[in-house]
Amino acid sequence: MSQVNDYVFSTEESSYPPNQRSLPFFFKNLNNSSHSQSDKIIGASYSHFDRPSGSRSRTSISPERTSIGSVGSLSPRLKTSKALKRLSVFDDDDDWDDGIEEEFLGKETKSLGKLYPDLEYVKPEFQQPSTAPARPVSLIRENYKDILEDPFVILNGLDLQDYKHHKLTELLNADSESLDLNELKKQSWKGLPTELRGLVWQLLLGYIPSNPSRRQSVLQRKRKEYNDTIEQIFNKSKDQIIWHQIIIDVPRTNPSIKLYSYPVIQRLLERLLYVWAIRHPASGYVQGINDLATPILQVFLQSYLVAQANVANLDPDKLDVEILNHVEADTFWCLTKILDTIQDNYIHEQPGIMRQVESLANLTLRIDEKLYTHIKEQNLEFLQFSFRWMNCMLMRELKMDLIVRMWDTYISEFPKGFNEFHVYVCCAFLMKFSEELKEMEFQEMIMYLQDTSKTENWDETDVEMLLSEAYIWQTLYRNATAHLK
Amino acid sequence: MSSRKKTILKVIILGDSGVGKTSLMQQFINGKFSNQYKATIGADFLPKDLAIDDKQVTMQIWDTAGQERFQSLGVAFYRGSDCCVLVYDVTNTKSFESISSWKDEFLVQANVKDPDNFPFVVIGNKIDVEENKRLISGKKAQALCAQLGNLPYFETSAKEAVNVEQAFDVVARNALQQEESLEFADDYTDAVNIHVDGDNGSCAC
Repeated sequence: MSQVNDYVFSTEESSYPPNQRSLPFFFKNLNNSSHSQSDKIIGASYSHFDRPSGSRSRTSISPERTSIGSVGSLSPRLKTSKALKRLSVFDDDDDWDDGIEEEFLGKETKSLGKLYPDLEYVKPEFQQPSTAPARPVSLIRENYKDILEDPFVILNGLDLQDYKHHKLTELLNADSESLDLNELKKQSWKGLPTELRGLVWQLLLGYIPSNPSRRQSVLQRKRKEYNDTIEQIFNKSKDQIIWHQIIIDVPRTNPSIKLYSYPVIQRLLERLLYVWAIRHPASGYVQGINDLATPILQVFLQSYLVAQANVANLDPDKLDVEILNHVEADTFWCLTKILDTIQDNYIHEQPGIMRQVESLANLTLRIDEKLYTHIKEQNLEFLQFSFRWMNCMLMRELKMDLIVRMWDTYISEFPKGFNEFHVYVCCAFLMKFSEELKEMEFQEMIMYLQDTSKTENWDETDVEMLLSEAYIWQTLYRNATAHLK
Repeated sequence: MSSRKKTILKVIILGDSGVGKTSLMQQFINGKFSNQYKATIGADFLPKDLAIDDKQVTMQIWDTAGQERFQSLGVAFYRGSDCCVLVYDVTNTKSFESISSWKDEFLVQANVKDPDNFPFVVIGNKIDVEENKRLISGKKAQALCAQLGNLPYFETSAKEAVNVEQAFDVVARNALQQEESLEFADDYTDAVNIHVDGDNGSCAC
């Protein structure tokens, strides 16, 4: 499948508006090129700032670019923001109070070209002769413009291959005042179909109101609010420590997934992470939050693609800039919703994570005392192997598609999915390897636990098993507070 | 006492985010460099068996995350270390300025017995960059290391495998010396006890 997508996404569709965000100088030769494997890690190649010596672009991607204002990078967004300006923006969403400080309003203009310093580096990579025929099939949904306005439009003419999700579509199509959210949660717990995932996540996270009459206006308002915030925040001088951390982490985000190698996606992530950090000064940006933004981003992008398209191989420069703008805003707000439930994980001394690690140890003691004792005898500390599980929501241990499936369940358990339930999932994860671990000594254990290849062959069934076990333990121990001490 | 068991040397790598700690460790352990490392979260662990002169040892290296927010994890990872490697990036002034606070932070959290004699090794990484990108001169770094207590100093390129072996050889030797001095201290404590017992015996005579 990925080959198909490579092929389709790398061939220009004349029906797409040119991507304004990618700017005219960007990939002039891209139209008929196909991406080779070697293109895969464009962005990641400046992980740790290590560059091939003599690379022309070295100067432009050095840490000094932290001092560059990013007003220019906003210009594509501003178009959308202007268009939204005259829309009604009354606050009809009571439980969704994310007012924006009006203090960030200064003006500062900088050269546009400098804001995309990586592009000159990337450009030569794509100058290969075309092997693709002239008119490939589009993998972008025909009605994407309507979906942008109202995500429910995706239900029209939806051709779900099987009837497994019959109940779900019926639920979403129900012509009622408000959706049966409880039933929707049940459906989501069991895993969602690719086409409807973005919509259901947005509903369950409370981003889209369940009342149909308010949907469009709320979406418009939130997207405008995000655009305005970007404008305000990026017009001020940057917090250099936060910005530096973000720009060295974004290129190291999912380096094995092609989507994240594109500058347009990297800039998008930088913006939304920076805005989140500035608006949450108690935690600021903490490494790992970059990981957490990506399942949301992918799932929301997928809403605009036909079901068989693999978003991981998407060439985002082929997308209408409006899609990217809206997906960025939607991702920001939904990431905010999730992070709100785990804020303790990222504030000073990370008490949320410390508590979760302790809960994991106590649960292990109850469920598998032999394993617990063995771990203690080997002087292995739970913190030494499970800190990352908590800080990155197991994203470093499982493949992206499995994480996305796992989040169907986490989001259906919202707002407890990402904290309380996650500990039970981690416990189930640890138990999976109990037999092997009990045979090992300290060094072998820690290496085995850190080795991500042990889940390489996992599929959805494995994850669903994990979730079911977690659910059982949660039911058994949730109210037995002794283990939480 | 520990005659049959292989000596374990615990080494910890500290330094600001993005200076190349993971790359150094990978270069040393696996002899390779990649652009695809994700940011380290918490700490990663890698062991390496090696011989120092005739002695077989296992070096257990903890490669830590550089972001300040993770410093509360220190206790879990620093404790029991035999040597601490402080890394900065020769193209990043701030990372150089952080060296002495990483050292202090380590001493506070690791709770070492004799802080003045604990072995540190300082590494300036990324010397493969063009000369005009380099912001910290060797001279400046040497001066700091002298000031911090004559710490051994190496300039490396994890990317091009320059000086990495040499730096870790000194790390290993100093760690071994530290480990043996601790062992000696333990023996000495035991000896005192025996001596006390002996005293009691002679008094009884």
